[in-house]
Amino acid sequence: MSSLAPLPVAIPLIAAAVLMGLGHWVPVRLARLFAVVVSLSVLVLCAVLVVGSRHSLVLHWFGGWRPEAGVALGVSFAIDQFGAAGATLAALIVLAAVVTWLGSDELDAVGLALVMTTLAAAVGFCLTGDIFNLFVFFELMSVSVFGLVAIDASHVGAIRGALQMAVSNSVGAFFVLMGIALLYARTGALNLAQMGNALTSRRSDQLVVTALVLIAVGFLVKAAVVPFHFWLADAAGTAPAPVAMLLVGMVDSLGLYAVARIYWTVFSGISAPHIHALRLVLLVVAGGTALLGAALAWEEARPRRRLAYVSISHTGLMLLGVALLDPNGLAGFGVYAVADGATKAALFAAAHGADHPKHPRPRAAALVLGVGALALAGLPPFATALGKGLIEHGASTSTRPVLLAVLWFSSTLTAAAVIGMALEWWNHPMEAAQSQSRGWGWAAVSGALLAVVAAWGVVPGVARAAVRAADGLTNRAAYAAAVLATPAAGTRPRQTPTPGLGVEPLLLGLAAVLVATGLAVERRRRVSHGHEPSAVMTQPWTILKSRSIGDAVTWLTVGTALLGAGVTLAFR
Amino acid sequence: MTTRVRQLVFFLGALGLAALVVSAFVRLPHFGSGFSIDGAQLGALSVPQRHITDVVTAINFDYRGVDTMGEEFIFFAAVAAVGLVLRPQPDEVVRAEVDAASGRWVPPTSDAVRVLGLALVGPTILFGLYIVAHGHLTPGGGFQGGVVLATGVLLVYLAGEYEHLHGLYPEQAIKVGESVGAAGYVAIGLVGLIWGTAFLDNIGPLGTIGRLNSAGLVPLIDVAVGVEVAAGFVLLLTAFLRQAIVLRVREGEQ
Amino acid sequence: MNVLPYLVAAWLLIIGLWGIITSRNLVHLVVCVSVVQSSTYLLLLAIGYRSHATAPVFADIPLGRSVVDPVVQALCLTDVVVGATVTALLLAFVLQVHKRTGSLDPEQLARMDD
Repeated sequence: MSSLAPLPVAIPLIAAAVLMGLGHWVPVRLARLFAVVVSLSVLVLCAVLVVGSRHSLVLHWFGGWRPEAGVALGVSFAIDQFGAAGATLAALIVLAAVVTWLGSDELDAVGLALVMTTLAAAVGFCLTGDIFNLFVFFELMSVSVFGLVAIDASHVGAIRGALQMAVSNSVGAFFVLMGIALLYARTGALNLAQMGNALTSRRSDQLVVTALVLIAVGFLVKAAVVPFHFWLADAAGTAPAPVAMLLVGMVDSLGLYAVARIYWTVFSGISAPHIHALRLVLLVVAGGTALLGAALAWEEARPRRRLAYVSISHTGLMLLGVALLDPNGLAGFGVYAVADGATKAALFAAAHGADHPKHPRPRAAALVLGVGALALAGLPPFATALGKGLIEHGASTSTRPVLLAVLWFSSTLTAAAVIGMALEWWNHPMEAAQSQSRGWGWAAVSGALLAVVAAWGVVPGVARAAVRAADGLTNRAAYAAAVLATPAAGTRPRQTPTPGLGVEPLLLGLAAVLVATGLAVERRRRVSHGHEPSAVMTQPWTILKSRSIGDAVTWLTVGTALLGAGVTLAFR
Repeated sequence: MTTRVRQLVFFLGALGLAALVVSAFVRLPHFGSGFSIDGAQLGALSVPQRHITDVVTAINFDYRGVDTMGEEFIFFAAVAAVGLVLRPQPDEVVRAEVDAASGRWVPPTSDAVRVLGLALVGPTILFGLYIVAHGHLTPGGGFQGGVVLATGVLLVYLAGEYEHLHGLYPEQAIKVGESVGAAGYVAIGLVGLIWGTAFLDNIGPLGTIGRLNSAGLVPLIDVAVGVEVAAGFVLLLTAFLRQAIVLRVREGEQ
Repeated sequence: MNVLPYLVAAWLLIIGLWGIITSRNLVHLVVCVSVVQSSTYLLLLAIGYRSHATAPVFADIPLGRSVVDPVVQALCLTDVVVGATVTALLLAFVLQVHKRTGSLDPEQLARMDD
């Protein structure tokens, strides 16, 4: 099993090199088939790793440099179920994006090579146990996606989106690097487990706090959490839909995964006394993102941008799971990331089908959007309901009502926004008249993704497996002992009981769907009767929807300062 | 936001950011102490364990070789992305290289530049190859040497015209070269996986310290990286030069 | 003196961000991004510096001689490559923007519709 570990990264990298080198001479169809085959094999390998990491960490020490006496000189992949599941999600979304893109002309061998490097980077990101290795894969994923967003270089909107994205994400990445430098200065190590051990034996001070804030901000920029969200609307709004699928289905969730991984393996020991205050700060950020994102989605008129704001809102919901700093919440995040990521990818695939240059099919896309909205609202059997239920159970009894309200309200409003889009497309005049049998690839992808989300909500044991996986990730001492091959005395394995969710998700989901449909229908009725949306409503939102690079970086700075203040106070 | 408001908001945010960052910096080990567990061990171990005298290369290509593989592919992806973004679009046309600002007389390349440029091409390429080959002995390695090699190519352009560059360095061959370099790194890693204990296991003969054929597989990796970086930089240069010199949007569509 | 290099790194970070938000020229903006990047290089190298130590290359010095931290130098190498490639990509974007819109003003770019 350990020998398998580097393969899901090595194979797509070689594939990328082969595509670049031979792309000129090989017909495009063959190149696309090759990419599909590679993505599928990576998906299978990651699924094997999920099974193989059930009882113990799968460890692979690159270069054969094994740790001695608790010091790790080499780089390792330290694969637990959570990481392997994240890698599987990445492979699934990439496969879906490639298949959706097959019908377009713009995808050539070089673009496919970039998709392959994105896949390799995402998988490596989830599997690694070394913080600088994490940064390298993070940058590889970023650079590949910058290129993919701008793949249609004659479209200035896409170039602008790519430029916005590249500047914001680069500044965020170098914040992460600064945090890594600070931690290296304090701990003398780059291996996550070793760093955690070194930090835990000391008292926390401002250096640790600043490192935590800088690293968190860098990854939260990637996840497009408010106020670092400006780039996503531009990029997902103007890039080709399959690239947007990658962004919202996979990249966002991986940013949050990094925050969770780094917090639990490096910082959880030293921040244990302050966990309640820290939890509060993170919950405020998460809740703000969820609510503001939902409001922006409701207010936005353009379809792709609206879906981008829906995605931002749901990233806030995922962050709620991480912010709870608790195994149930983390398990909920895991389930929700997969379910919601697949749903959002399905929505963007539908957007691709709605205004496809050759076979536009707005009505079919509207149907997909409708089903997707049910998933967004959290209606069982979709696994989104399971994820939300687990997150809710991670909250203490005092915060649970507020959390529930935020979860419910954001899901309802975003579902309403998507249903509104579906209604618009259903009544769209243009429809493909010719060739009824071609151009359905995107529909197959959407349908498959939504079916996976529904099936996953029904399969027994998902909740239990998720909580067990979360238990593994949150147990810093056991992780460190396993990675560094030191005796595991005193590291009791946590066994969080799986919460029984009962009929509550069904009731909440039904209520959400009803209210969402009502809101969407009511708005459509008012618009068709000639009522203009009031200018007073839209004015405050223009600040949050700015497209200027300068504004985005300003808010990045302000957001970092505020988060820094909050975490510093939490550590007092 | 208007400019004034943005500057004010940023100023406030920057104060907070500066406080956050400086308060951490003053708690760093004081400048000059250079404490590090990993660093001390690696400095002591690199020569006896791997017969590599340049410890930085030892870290980059042996102890933490997988990081450098990722870094090499970041470069690869960026070159691919630049090629994608700057490729000729459907509404663009390749024109002869004519100075876009009409009415301005462009002097031909002076003889001094021509002679010096051509004379320096050889030594530059030789120097680049030297740096690539000696990465494990003295400061240098694949990345640095690859950049110097690419500079040699740039000298050809400076000494001549764009069409010389284009003729001497066919783009497809260079793409193949870059891909071979990139795939080569992963292939060397897989060799370690199959015949050794782990990916990127340095299973080559370690040889004598200080000789060119020492340090196992590290010189091979250096060569692969050197080829990839040199080819990649040439592709970057030609993409930018082509944009500036020969690509023009079709008339009437600006 | 003990913290001066670190303060310089902090200053570079702040002034680079200031440059980005007040920029009226996209090329200037991209260069400011690389100023922010260089603040990290300085921080890394300053952390690894050891007084009275020399470069970590044992080709011409005896083993056991005190050397500066080689790990941060290796990290810095990686970061320089990453930074340079990102800058190249950003400049490619800027080039296309200028070709298509004729302007290099970030504010004008922001006001443009999709």
